[in-house]
Amino acid sequence: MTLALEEVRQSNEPALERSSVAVLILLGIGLISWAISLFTIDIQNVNDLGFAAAFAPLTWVALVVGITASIVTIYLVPVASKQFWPLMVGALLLVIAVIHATPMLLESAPRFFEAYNHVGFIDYIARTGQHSVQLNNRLSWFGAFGAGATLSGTAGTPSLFGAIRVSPWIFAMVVLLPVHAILTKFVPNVRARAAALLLFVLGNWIGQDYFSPQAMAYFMSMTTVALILHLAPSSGPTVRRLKTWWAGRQSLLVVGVLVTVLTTAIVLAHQLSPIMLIALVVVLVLTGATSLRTFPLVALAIFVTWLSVGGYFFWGHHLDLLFGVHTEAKQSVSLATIISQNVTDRLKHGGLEFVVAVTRVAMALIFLGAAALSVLIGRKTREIRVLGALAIAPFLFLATSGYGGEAVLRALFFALPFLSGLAGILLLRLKPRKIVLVGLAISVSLLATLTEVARYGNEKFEQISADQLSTMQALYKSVPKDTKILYFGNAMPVYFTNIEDYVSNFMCFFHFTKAGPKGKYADADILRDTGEFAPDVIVWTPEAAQFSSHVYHFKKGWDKPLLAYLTANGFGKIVVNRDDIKIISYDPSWSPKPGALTAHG
Amino acid sequence: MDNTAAVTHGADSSRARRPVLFAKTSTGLAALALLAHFLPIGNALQSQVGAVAVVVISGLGFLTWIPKQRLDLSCSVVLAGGLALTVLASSALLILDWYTPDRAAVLAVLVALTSLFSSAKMAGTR
Repeated sequence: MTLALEEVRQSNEPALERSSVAVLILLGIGLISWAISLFTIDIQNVNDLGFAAAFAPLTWVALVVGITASIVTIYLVPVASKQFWPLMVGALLLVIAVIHATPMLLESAPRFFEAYNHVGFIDYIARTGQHSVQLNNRLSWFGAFGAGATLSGTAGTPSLFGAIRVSPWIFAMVVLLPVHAILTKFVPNVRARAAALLLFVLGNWIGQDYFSPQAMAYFMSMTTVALILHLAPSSGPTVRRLKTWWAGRQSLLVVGVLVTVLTTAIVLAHQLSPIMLIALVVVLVLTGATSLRTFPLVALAIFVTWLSVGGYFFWGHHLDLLFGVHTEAKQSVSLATIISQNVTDRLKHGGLEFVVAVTRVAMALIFLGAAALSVLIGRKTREIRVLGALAIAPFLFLATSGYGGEAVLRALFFALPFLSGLAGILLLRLKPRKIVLVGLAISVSLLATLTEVARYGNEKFEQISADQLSTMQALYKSVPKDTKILYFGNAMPVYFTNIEDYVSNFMCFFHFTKAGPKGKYADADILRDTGEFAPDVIVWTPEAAQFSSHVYHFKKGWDKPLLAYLTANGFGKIVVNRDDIKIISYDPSWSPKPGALTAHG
Repeated sequence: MDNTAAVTHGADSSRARRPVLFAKTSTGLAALALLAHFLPIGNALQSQVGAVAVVVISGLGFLTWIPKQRLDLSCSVVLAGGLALTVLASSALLILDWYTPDRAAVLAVLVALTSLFSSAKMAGTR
């Protein structure tokens, strides 16, 4: 059927040439609209729906035009023409710019609080040449932080803040390279592949693309998969015909060395990504898509070796984490509960937070549903079956690890290239009639709107202001060595410089009695743990308090009475008292000059 | 026959010669990068030049295996290969307690160049 459609398109060459011009015009309109809209977006309008609430009408125009240009290119621009890929890439870059570069350009300080921790690790390694796991157990996987220190050299934290700002945007663009390289092996139809890339961009709402080891490891993992498929391809039988399958093995030295180097780097960079990579490679091997039959064993050996040696500090007292037993309050948690934590718990929020949660679940279901339908229709095609298996493999990770939290999200992220490939194939089964194209432009634009909400929703605690950042920089510069700093939560720019000079603790990580942080003893638990930590300085931001409610189940408004108590007893001295940040000092020997910690002070 | 296999196994002589060209170009780039990394031309410039050079040069080493028409894969490998070598060089020095950003950058470049010349030699002698 695809071939027939191609013939129809090729017989209409003159009309199709006009389509290239139309796409060029659309791209011009989109770019100009987006550029103008940047001057009209009021960042104060960002609410729990994220940037979607602040987008100016012209921003939406740019997004819809970008999607329309993509659809027109995918269905109407001749594949054989030289313009096809430049136009498609142009359309993709416009969509990426609207979704990811808008926040990057407008935010006064780069998001996301976790990335500031990573800057702290990089800064520490660059200055000291050390990777002390005593300081933070994430330094057990120091590869990415070491690489960050090497690549940034002596540039220092201000330059690294710049890296935080551009990371999601850069990642969204460059990750398309290995994803496309992978899809060329499974999706021979160029138009379907282009559609898959668009869907990958729209499906990437998961937020693992910030300045982080996992983003780096993801890129290297996808490149490894692409390399295996291209340099050691096979179209032999699956493992079901064991003898023939085993006879088809090859030992390619160059390829073996190459993928081993990449795998070792991934293992050293991030604790979870190697498991996903191994899952994907196992599928390639079992389905006969590669001749590197024994490589999964090599990868597993590298992973286990580092986990046993380098990662010991992390798992030494948490064996349950390694064997699929996730525990909370000393009770083991089942796989069903992990899924529940990731899905249903997120739906328990009210108001706009609920809308964001529903949007995220809907996005996941749309992609999973489309992929399932695509497999069902094309199940007789080998490539589609392999794609389906690759899309499922990362979710097996849930059963092999006790890592709770964002497990489903990470599995979804690793499955996304294959889900997008399947969805792209499904999309190209539609005949390119006018009504279909209009319908597609509308429905994919709606999908892009969902992406914007899902990716940049819940902004209030993810956003960081330049004033907060400069105050925290001034704080770290002025406090004496070994100062104990307690934060109301971890959603704030902390731990980004000289991390060995002070001791940090976060109220969201306090231990609570059985009733938890919402129980009737929660306030007493917080005061008890605060007393035990005996902080010299306490820092509050509204985002940190809100994040503790959102993620760690603290009562809404829990911070207000606590703040009042901490400042009313006359012992603590408020050294910064703003609506966006409050700093209380309990150290009589440290009294910063008035205004020293204020914004830009 | 698969293009990559042709390069790897030396079946296509024009492709087999390309690594030598890459080797020459990369040697020049590597020399410049190493020089820039240690010249007193300002910390930021040093580090940025060094960073870009490490990624580009190590990537060029891998590029010798990959046909030009596979731009997506080539660019992926350039970036991921550069990152991987930097991760490995940095990690090795950290484990040996001998880490500085400069040493790690130099080590990554040296490893990249070694792989580059090995590949060029392999392709040239086949």
